[in-house]
Amino acid sequence: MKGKIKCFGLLSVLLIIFGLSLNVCSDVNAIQYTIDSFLIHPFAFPISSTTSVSDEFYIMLDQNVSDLNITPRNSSYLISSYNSSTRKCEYSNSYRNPGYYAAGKSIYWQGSFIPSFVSSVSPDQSCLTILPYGSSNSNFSVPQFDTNSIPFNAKLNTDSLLPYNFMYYSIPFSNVRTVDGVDYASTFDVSELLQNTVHPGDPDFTYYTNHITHLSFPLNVNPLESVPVGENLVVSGRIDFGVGLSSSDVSGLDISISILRSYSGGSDGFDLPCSLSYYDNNGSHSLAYYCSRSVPSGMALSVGHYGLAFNIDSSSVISSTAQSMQFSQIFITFHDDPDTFGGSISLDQFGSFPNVAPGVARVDSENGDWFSSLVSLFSFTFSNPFAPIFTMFTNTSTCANIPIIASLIHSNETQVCPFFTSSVTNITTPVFSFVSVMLVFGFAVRWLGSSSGNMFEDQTSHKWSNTQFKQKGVK
Amino acid sequence: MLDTVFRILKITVICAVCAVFLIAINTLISFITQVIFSNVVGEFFALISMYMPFNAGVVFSAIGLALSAILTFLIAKKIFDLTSWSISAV
Repeated sequence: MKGKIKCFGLLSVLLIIFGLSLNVCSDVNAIQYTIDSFLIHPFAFPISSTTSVSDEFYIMLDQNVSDLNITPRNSSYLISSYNSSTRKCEYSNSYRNPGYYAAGKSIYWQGSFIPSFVSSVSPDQSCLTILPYGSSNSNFSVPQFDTNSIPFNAKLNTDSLLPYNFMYYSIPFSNVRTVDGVDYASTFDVSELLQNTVHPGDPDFTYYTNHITHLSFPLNVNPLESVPVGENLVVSGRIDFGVGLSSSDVSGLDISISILRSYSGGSDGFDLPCSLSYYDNNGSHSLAYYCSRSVPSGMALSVGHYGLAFNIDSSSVISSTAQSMQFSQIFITFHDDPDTFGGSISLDQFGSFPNVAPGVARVDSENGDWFSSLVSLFSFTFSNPFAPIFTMFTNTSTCANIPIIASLIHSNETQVCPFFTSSVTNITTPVFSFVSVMLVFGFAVRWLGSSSGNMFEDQTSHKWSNTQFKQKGVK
Repeated sequence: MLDTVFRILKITVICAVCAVFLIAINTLISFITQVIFSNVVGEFFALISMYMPFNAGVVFSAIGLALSAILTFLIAKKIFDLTSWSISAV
């Protein structure tokens, strides 16, 4: 009996220890799919001969598109510039994979795209053409291929594209999650916005009056806990943002923020009324306007892609000194707990502004947060206990996001990519898994079989054999 | 004949109970892990997987599944033994 108790106790402890990796590890892979509907998954450029190339390429949209912004994930140094006359988006990734590539190999581009369009017509995914950069001086064997040739799910979810003629920026959230109590953090491309300078009296000045810029971010949970479209997520979070202005006096600037969800036929969402706070960035003649507000506790948002709408109204700016206003940075941070405000990962990809102005905007502590926490306790999805078996045979050699560890070690790199290629790990992972499982089973059978309880034998027949009946005098 | 039917029924019920237990224990562990450790464990596995020729998370998940299966088997065996016909010692 003692042996059995030991067996159960030790097994339970081992189960708890090793079981920590069950669905948690799946989450790491699951994060890769958080913006699935906007993604073009990794693809490869085949190479016909040994050459020195860099995986630079064009992305061309073969239709009248007024704006194209393609933002990769996991890269802040990638630059995309869209030429409206040629309708090409020159996309440089030469820093990432430069060097010599052997013939027959492929440049495996692990980035992901978040294309967003502003178009008068519905974007047709077949129109999206990807061209290698500089086809005259590189030896790509495939000079042109469309999305149909990409051997991955390259479909664009055009339903989630906003039907408005708004400037549209995508946020490549690397670790967007919801309802899991983790701070959300990411950087996003505001390069086009930053290039714009607003001069009083200039056409640009009026151009930005009441101009709404959308920062798109997905609000999806991981696939294992995916919520069907139409159902609601309970979101309790915090959104902080700042707009840095190089002007010295923008006292009349009015910025309002709202979160919109777009769908075919309209949009919905909620406003984020907030008071803008003044912040002087260490004498760098920059002003930053911070806005912070908790998302209403318990607010239910339908699953979908949401846009952060900046309504920048500069028409009422009264300034005698301001000659221009240039947006120097925009960042956004999601917090799950107001008390951790200031301790989250900075989203400022430029690193010039601190994420938080000390003492500013530590407000809006919702009294009803406990209720949403209580609700989240009872809203969970049953996990498939046999999922690890199927995970063995999937391609798990993908970049993983480590936002928590990165914040612990104060690293800006929140994503790590495997050293070994997927062709290696795809073979060794199931092999190691089966070997480990067999070792565990063998150990368990050997151990339990030789214990005093002898769990793997029929105890009833063992204890109450005819010989024992006779010995005990049972007739 | 009737004894065989009852035996099959009993085994079926025990299998169902243990399947529920297996799912429940997995869900409970993942839930507790999420609450206590957030995603740090998964990130740690992901981190060490970057320098290993295999995915540590998947391997440890498989080990966890094996341990769960063993524990479930032991419980099934216990239920089976407890519900088996036996004669108490005189």
